[in-house]
Amino acid sequence: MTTSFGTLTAAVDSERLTKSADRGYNYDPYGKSVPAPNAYSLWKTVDVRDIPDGIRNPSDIYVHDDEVYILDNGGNRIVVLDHDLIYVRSIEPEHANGISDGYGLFVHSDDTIYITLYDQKSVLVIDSEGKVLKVIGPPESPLIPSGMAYRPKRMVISDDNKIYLVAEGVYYGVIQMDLNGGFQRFYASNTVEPGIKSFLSNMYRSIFTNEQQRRTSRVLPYEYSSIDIDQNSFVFTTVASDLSSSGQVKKHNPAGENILGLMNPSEVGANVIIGTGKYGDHEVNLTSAGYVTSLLNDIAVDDKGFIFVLDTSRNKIFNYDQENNLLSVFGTAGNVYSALVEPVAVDVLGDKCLVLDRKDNSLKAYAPTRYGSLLREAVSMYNSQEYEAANDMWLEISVKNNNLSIAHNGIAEAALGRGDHGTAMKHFAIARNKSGYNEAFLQSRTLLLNRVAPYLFIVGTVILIGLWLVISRSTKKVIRSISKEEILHDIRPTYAMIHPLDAFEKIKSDGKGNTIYATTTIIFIFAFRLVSLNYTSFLFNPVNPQTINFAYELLQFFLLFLVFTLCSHAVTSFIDGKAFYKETIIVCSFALAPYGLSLILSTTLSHILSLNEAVFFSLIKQIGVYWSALMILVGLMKVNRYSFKKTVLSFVLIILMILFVIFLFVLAYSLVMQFASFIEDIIKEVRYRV
Amino acid sequence: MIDYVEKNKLLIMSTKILVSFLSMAVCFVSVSCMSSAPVEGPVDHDALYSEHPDSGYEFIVSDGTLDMFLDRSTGQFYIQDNVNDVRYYSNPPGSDNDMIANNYYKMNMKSQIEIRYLNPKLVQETINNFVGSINKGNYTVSINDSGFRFEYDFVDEGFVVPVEYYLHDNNFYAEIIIDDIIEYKDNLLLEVILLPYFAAHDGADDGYIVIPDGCGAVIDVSDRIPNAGSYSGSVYGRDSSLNIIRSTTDLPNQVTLPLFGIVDGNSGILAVIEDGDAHARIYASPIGVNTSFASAGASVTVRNSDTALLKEMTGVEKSVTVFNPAIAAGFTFKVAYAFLDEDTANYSAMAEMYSRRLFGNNEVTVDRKSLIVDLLMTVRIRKNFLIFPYEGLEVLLTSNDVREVSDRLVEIGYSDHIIKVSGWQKDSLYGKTRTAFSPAPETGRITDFARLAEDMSGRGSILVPGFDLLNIYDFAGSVRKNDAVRNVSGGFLEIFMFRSSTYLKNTEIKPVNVLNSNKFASYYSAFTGSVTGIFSMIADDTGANLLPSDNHRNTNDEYAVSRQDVMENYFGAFNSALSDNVSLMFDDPRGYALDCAHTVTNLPGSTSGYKGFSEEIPFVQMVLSGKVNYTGEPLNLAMDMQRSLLKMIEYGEIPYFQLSELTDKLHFLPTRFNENYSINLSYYLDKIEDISEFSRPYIDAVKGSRIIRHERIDDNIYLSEYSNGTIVYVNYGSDQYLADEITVLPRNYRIGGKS
Repeated sequence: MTTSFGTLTAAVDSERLTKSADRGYNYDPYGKSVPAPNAYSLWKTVDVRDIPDGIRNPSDIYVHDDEVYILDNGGNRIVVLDHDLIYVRSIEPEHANGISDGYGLFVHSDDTIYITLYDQKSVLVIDSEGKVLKVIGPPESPLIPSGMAYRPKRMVISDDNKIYLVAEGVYYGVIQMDLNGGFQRFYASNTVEPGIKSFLSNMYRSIFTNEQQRRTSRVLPYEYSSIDIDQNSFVFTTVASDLSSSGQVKKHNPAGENILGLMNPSEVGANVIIGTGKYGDHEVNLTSAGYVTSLLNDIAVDDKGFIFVLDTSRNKIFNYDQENNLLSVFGTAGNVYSALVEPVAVDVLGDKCLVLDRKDNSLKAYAPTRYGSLLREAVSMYNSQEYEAANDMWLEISVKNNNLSIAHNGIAEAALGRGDHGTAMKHFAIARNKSGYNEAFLQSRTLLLNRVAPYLFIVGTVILIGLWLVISRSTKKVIRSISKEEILHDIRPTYAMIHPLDAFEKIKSDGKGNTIYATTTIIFIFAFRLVSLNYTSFLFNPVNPQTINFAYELLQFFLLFLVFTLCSHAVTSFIDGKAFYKETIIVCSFALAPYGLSLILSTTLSHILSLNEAVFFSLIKQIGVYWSALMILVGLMKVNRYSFKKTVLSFVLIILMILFVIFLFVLAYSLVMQFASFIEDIIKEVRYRV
Repeated sequence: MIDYVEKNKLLIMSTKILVSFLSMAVCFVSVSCMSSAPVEGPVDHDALYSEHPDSGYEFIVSDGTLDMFLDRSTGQFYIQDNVNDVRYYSNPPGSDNDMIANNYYKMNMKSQIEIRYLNPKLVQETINNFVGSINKGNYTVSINDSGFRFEYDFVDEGFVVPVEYYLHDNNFYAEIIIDDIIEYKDNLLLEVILLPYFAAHDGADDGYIVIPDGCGAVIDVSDRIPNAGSYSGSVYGRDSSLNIIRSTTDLPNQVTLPLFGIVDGNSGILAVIEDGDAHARIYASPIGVNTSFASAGASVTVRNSDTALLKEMTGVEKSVTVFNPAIAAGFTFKVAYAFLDEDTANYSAMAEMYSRRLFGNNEVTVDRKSLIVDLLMTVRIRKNFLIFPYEGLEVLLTSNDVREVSDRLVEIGYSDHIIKVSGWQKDSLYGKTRTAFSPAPETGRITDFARLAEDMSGRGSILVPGFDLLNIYDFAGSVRKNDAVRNVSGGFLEIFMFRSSTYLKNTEIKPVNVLNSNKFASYYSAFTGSVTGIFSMIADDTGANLLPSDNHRNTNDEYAVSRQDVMENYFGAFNSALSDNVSLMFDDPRGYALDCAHTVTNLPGSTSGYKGFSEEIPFVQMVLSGKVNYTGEPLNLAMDMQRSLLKMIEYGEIPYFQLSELTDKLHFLPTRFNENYSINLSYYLDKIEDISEFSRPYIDAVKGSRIIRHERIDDNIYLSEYSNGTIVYVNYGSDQYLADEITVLPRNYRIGGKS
């Protein structure tokens, strides 16, 4: 259900009740959810009405030979459905202890059925009639730590007959066994995430006694929550915790390494998170119990390599391609008929996604919509680098979903392939794809250079010589005039940049500092900063210009300047500084002139340079920053009549004082906010109760 | 809170107790007199009464076709439909032996009303009149010319609830006199459910319950849907001032029309809430959920209450019950029950009955159009002047562009189209409340729009400016904070957007306030006045779907405006437009606005999602068919355009699109504009041309007629029959289907019948 333009508003949107919890969405490159057409829709629900005696408390499904196997714990059986999800038969294992604690289900290519039994700490192997072939107990090996908890959850078997099993309490990795249960190794071990917590924990533990160590909690690697295997025997795993920064979803090569292509956050720019290995929902909500995030507890991969991940926290399925692009999100929590109540397992049947609901005792099948089918096809072609062939599809997809960034990537790749660099850059920019944009930009620039190269050398040489002649003469004149002027008049920032020692000395000794120049300088620098934020090329701009807050930037810049100058004056006054506050202001503002200049230069250069030459961009910015820092140091030394050593000392003290002031600011802000909140609550309470 | 209740209510309660005792005494005397008065009625019914097999029932009254019988000792009654020889019981017989109902529901099955109230600890409780009144003998009954009146006295709870039951014009009526309700203890009455088991279906015959939830749905008595639970839904959607939505996973069900129906073999009832509809809820229960019966009933909310969140010093939120001090006043809650026969015991006939009730008996009244296009003209985005950011208009379409679109539609063959323009305002959609048609200069002058409207009118098309007076995005001009509706906790009603990911409020987008209904009415007439003579129709985007009670307390500490009064104020506004000869187009309208509409868009195409529904039906569409131009969701934003097109044909709707021209600046804006994920005008104009070829036969065949029958004839195969004899078969399946010797191709439709 949608709204009209006039009512695409908060007011009515929340009033629309028809399945509105089931609305499709995706994420923009910055991790904000944006509406999208549904790529999958509920195709069929199989519940107790469709299966003799129904299913009770089911825990897993597995699709094998176009048949769907459901592990029906309550019924102590396996229910088999055909590809239309019609009941075919049930298999009742002849296992004395039953399978009510069954957790995972796998059907081998030879029709042998493997059931992981959580409480019985074993894997039950039966034939297609239910006859018990063997029971595989906990793995035994000197490599296995004694006392390792072992609660088998889910397992798969590769083409070369190796069992890969994930179990609760096993944080050493996936257990790899032979078909008889003989332990082979821990596969794809997760490592402890380096971080402050692990660092501190290890530090404490090193000084604890053994007994103390035993009593303290350890920082351990995250254990796997589920596992699946594709037709090429690549193993896919999920980690439930979203705190795992190395990715909750992994595709392992035979060595156990993750081979899902993750983009480095630095490559895509600040705030851009798509493709960087963040899975599940990016938006979280805070409750009294803490942050509610996605818990990825099952995974399935279809024949075309599309990955389906089950979020048991918000009852959704996230659909990714093998480039980590989120294609769609479907399923919903709530009480509507299509809602998932307690989903426990996911698998794929052709292009359909099956989700088992333990509490609802049902199996829900989602089929791709027309938009979803188109998306699957386009992604398949894109990932096999058939960009041009996929172009028309991407164009149609972008019309159907203007909010889908990978559609713009697809259009851009095709445009790049046919040499339409302008279109390519435009769409790469929309998709925030820096590497793609860079490639298009490079090609475009090379073409341009090739076109003008024959003339460039001659024209360039003539221009350079001319410039050199003009500049060398005029510069001398300017420098002379500046020098002459500065003797007669107040010091200007341009002079200070070139002759900082002399300029700052004259400001102190001859009183040649001018606050108007200083104020103008600082205003210009702020303006340059805004220019830099707004007009730096997409390749080098770390922020989204749409989200720049003028007031915040203004406050941040001038507050920081004010705090620095005040702290500086306070500190230097305390340690025998001779500077007046006016002189400190003038020095600091003049000293920022190189920084401002570097902003303008780098902003201009950002439109000429590619990422390959990013070092020049950074160099200019760094020169500006260091030059300014040096000027502040020199300026403070001069106006305070400090030695170099004392200047450095004062500088350190100034930094410490700034940190202290910021701390006080934060503290005061927090107190004020708490007080405001308290007052607001009192008003509310009075209103409710009186 | 208890202290508050005790202290503040003490005086009022004492007075009320005194008053109630006095009134009860008066009632007792009068009832004694009335009860002993001879009952007037045809003589042969006395004979019928003496021969009646149901001992305890006495004949009360007859209107010729219906007879009413009452058992005074239990309060139970039944209506005898003499024409069809069917008896409709207020309570299912044999409830004590019900195999499914537990003791609580067994008692409920013996009751005529059930009440929900807050006890002094502000905990909600429920009790039925059998347990709370009848069984204790605390009631009075008085017989009158047309029926009888019960006053159920819940002595322990401290309420007297008067209900009148009577026959009138071949219908049976049940009416709660809200103004006569007495509260004489510290409990606070919240809701009264009326006749929850009247005409309950025992499952012996085929049948179903009809609920106009969303587009409409049926609960088949033979369907045993697991985990379905009972159904309850607010008539006209929830009151936004109550039950503040905190998550989209908890969205309540929404009933579009104030009615429900029960079909039991060749008989049944159609219950229409004739008064108090804005405070009503519909309840239904499939067989096997609570009892062995399928039942449905209506309730009235007499006092607004809600839970508000209060943050404690620890940061943990605690819920607090908040409520209005007084019971809503000034209306009764009246439900009319019509009895169905062999010909009318189906949902198609019910829809026609309600349509006649709503629009009168004229056969077809609407000048049916063939296409509706909603064009977004501007969007407000962040722009930069050099380095200075500002909010500015991004003009997507001008009046000249709209003219071109209209010309193109005529070329394609849609000469009788409707174009609605949105975002023509000076500050686009989400700015100040505009009470006059004053377009942004960048989109065109008033004269440009006027000329366009005139030209379009000349060829049978209509240009319609869309407006939104209810939502307050910006308190500016004459709209002040005090003009905003307050919710039941006393704070201003704020309506948020919700995130699809977390299901929670999107606090990054500013919530909007809602204008109170008095101001709304005055602004409405101002806006209508400004367009009179320019436009023949205006599109109201919110007045037909946002119906919040205004809990601003007046000096008497009572409601300022109840939801029923808000609805009346809206009616006043709508009628002021109609009296100015300006037709109205509504977006996603609820039942209360339908009889004022010329055209409606965004009618729900599905239900709220209650698990117990067996099937979705186009009930609302059938009510509107032939009377109003109507359409569902825009095809360009549909999940599956082909399927939506077929559904449009099945439901008798008009093709509808929401379009605009996108610019490069509009990608991933952190604004509401992201909702428009598929509105590319040039792309969809071509699509409209394609669709025209597909849907033209249907549009031509059904024009000027209304749906008289709708039926599912097989899995994925639906039939809609029109008053001109046209039958439209729709096949959603992947195999072709042979229907009445007509082959319907997969995912296609065919025209059959007379035409």
